[in-house]
Amino acid sequence: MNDPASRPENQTPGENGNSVSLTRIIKSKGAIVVGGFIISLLLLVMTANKINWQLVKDAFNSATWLPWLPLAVFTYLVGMLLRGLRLKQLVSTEASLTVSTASNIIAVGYATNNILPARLGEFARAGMLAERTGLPYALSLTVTFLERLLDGLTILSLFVLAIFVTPTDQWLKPAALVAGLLFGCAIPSVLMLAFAPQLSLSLASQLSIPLGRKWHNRALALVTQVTRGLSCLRDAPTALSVLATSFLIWIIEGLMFALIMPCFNLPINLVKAIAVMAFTNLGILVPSSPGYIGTYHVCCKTALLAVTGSDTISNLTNGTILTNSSTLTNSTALQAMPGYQLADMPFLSNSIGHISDSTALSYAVVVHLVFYITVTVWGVIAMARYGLELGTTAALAWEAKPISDLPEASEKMAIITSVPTQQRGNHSFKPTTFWLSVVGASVPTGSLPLTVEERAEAILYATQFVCTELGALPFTLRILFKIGILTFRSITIVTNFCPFESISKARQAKVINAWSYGPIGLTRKLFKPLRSLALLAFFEHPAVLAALDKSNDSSEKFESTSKVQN
Amino acid sequence: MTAQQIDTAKEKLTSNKPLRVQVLIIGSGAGGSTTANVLAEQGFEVVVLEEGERHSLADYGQSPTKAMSLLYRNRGIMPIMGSVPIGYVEGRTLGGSTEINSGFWHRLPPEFLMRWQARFNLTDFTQDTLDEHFQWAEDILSVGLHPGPWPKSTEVFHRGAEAMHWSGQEVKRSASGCENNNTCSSGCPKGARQGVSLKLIPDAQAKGARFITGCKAKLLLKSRGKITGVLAEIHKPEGTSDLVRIDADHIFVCAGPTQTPGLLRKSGIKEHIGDTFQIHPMLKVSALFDEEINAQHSVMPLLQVKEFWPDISLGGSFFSVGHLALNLGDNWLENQNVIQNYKRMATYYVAVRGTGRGTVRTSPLGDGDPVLRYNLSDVDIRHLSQGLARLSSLLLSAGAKEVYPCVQGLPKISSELDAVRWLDESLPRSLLSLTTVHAFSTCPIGEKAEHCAADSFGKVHGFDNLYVNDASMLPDSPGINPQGTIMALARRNALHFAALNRGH
Repeated sequence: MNDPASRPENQTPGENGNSVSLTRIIKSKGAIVVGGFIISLLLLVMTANKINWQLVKDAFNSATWLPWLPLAVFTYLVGMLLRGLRLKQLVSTEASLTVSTASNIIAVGYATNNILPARLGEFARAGMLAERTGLPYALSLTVTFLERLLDGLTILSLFVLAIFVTPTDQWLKPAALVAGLLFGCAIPSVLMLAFAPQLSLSLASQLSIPLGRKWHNRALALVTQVTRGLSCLRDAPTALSVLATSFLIWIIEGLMFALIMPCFNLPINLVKAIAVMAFTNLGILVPSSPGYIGTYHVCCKTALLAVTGSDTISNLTNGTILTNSSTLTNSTALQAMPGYQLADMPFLSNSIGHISDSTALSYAVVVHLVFYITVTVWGVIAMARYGLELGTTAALAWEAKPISDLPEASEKMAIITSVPTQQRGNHSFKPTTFWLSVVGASVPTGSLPLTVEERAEAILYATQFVCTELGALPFTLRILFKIGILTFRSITIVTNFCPFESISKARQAKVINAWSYGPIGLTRKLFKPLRSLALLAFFEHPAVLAALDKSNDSSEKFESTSKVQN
Repeated sequence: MTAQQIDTAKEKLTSNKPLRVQVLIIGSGAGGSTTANVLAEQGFEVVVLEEGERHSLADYGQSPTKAMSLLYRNRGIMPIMGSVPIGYVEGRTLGGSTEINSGFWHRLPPEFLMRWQARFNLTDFTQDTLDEHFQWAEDILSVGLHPGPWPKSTEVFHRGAEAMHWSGQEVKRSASGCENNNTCSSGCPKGARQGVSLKLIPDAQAKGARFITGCKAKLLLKSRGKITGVLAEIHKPEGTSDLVRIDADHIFVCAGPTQTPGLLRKSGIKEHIGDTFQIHPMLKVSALFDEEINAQHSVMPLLQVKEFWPDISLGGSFFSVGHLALNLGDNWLENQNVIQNYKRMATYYVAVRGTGRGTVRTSPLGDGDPVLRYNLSDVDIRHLSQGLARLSSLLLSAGAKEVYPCVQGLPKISSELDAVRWLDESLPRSLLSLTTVHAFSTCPIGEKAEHCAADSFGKVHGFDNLYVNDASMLPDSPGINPQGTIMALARRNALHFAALNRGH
């Protein structure tokens, strides 16, 4: 797949094959592209027929743009940087990537989605990630898939949460239940793929073997690529930070939706905004034209009406119940508009009154424009900066196409798929100051004639060895060991009021000895491998061996001098 | 076969051409390389998959810490869990554990042969039938006694055995040209201690067998009661891994006592697989003498005391300053200064024929690594305690001033009175630091289907074309270094297979 020879007609990205590549992609996804355009068109026509355009015009004329619109744009930009941060986290064990480059890559992907059909931006993004980091395309594509998967799961969970804490139209509840069900099924599957790759492979093999060799190979290739992509989640800190960033990204996106509400004299309500954001983003999974035109608007408008427009909701609000659905009401919250203070707002209140279709559509148009223009401009600037042309991006998209879409050489091909090799646990334990302190406290302190530099070098060598060896522990033991070390660190902080690495050397040695040789069997078992590995490596270091010999020579000299004196 | 030919074989495997082989062997250790050699000689088309890499002699003989990452499975970190965690190591390189073991060689003692035959109903399993296979292996590995004078660590051990009037003898080794360079556990750079990669594998290659290294079997593919092939992962130098499918008519799983049951269980083959994991638990002691031993520069002690065999064996262990520190680590606060006398120290062991129960299961998490469990029995503890008493007495009689057992909280033994205490008392179970290098019996062979995973010749019950042929097939703990028995049985089984399948 990475072999240039495997490219169609041996073309390289950016050369004259770009147009051919683009054509091939569009051709290969022809049905989706055509379907997307039809759906977009239908939705646009349906919406246009129902809308009183005069009211839309009125809504725009009476809108309050400042400071809300710039704030929304700024919020969206922050969200993009957070997406970049998450991408950096996802590839941190494979490649070094700055947040700005990562954000540019994502912007290019989004911009391509906005300009080209069939979500080609996802492939372009993977292609650019590979090009910028040197990662194999297969892995880049898997990382992109993982990002989208995380997005999907985060949006689903935010949607379910938002719908159940805020009153909405009745029809949204079943939708939330379905989403919850999907979420409930997806989470165990993702966990299994991330944490049990061998089990996933066995299961995929068993389930697909009756389908014949071709589909068996495809299933195995897919599972192998996905499990490889998800492997970064096996590291607990990475998994937690990626998860936290994902939620932050989509809460920020929700905030962007919320900040546009006051433009149309709607009170800011983050929960409702998150519900609208989530529904809209789930809705645009349906094939549509580039930029999700039509689909986005209908979903956004429908969601906004659903979270604000039912009688049930109106009854729950503090404001006047609607009497005329085509105009804005004078609810308590709205009376304060447009110059109300954010601090006065009940941030999570349900106090949005019933709004009109036209206002909802106006709102959807503005939200879409904020997203569309911001990211497209960013993406185009990024493309220009990296010297990419749209055609090249499409060519990169071809490079990143999954194995299942490539022409098959033979039904009986030996190679099923190719993924980057993952070194076992190589990033599980890094020789940080903490580990240097632990190893330093486990080996002899002053009994050997070592210079400060020699001792530091030997401790560094031993620490690197200890970390590499601990990383080779079988998966379950590695997790248990990490939990044990986390407990050790926490208890040390509680009992010493500072982290282990910050306490004095003498105290460090005391703590290590208490855990290594104390009365509690569990602490002894935790420290035994650590201590053993540290001692083994320390006493294999050439400087330590030389110091031992030196110390032996001097004691022998001392013994012979004593004998002579005697 | 030259290295170039091997590369060609690898290229063929990683190309998009279909690959079907007659006999696929997984693992290139004592069992796998013997099987490959015999079957290639019998005219079968043989491909061997080895998870580890091929190393030249120049890569061997490095420091223990470097050798661990180069030649050992999991970088030498393979704990056996249980009430007493036991450190276990095995090789992961072309030639498997034969590249890093001591090379000690035993034939299966007749009493075990008869006991196994009776307990497991093994057919065609007699001294006469096995002798030729032992002889073949001994010839190919140049098994014999140590070529030069005994190193000091052996001398003192011999002195102790004589003083105690116990039966002890030098054990034959597959190390005909041993130069005493103390590198057995990191691969002999002189090629004196013969792993199977030195002669047996090149011989197999010359007969047409292909060895593909850096290739880990991930799953056996089954269809209608037959194994159709293997899913394997090939690591390529440029940092990618290919998932490949290899179809085969017959498959021999020879991945060792932990990986063979692991692979079979991962592939859904579980009947009596991994249920009877046996080991030789080993307790090490470090002894301090008045005289210089310089064990760090010599081969490990060559004598074994078999006075208390089969339950208890006494012998000598690999020695380096790092390993000495590790052994003293159980009581480091009290004993750390002793390490300065390392030139006057050597390490010995008590090994017992384990009677506890062990299992090999696969972890549902991660890459499905085998999870090893062994519960030390009370009998094991008694034997270890008595063994410590005997070994300490022997070493003190040999002139040792102090003996330091790997038992946390146990003070050094400096008199025979301190030593014999353990004839009557049991060592504290939770404070023991045990290791082992001998594991077996995870897929026992025999005709007793209620106990055995495979028939008398290693064919896995329920399958026509799947075989086990490594340490996992030994039906029970042999109480000796098992390499000789593994190779002899592997050859016997391979010849039996050839006789049945020749011309098919």
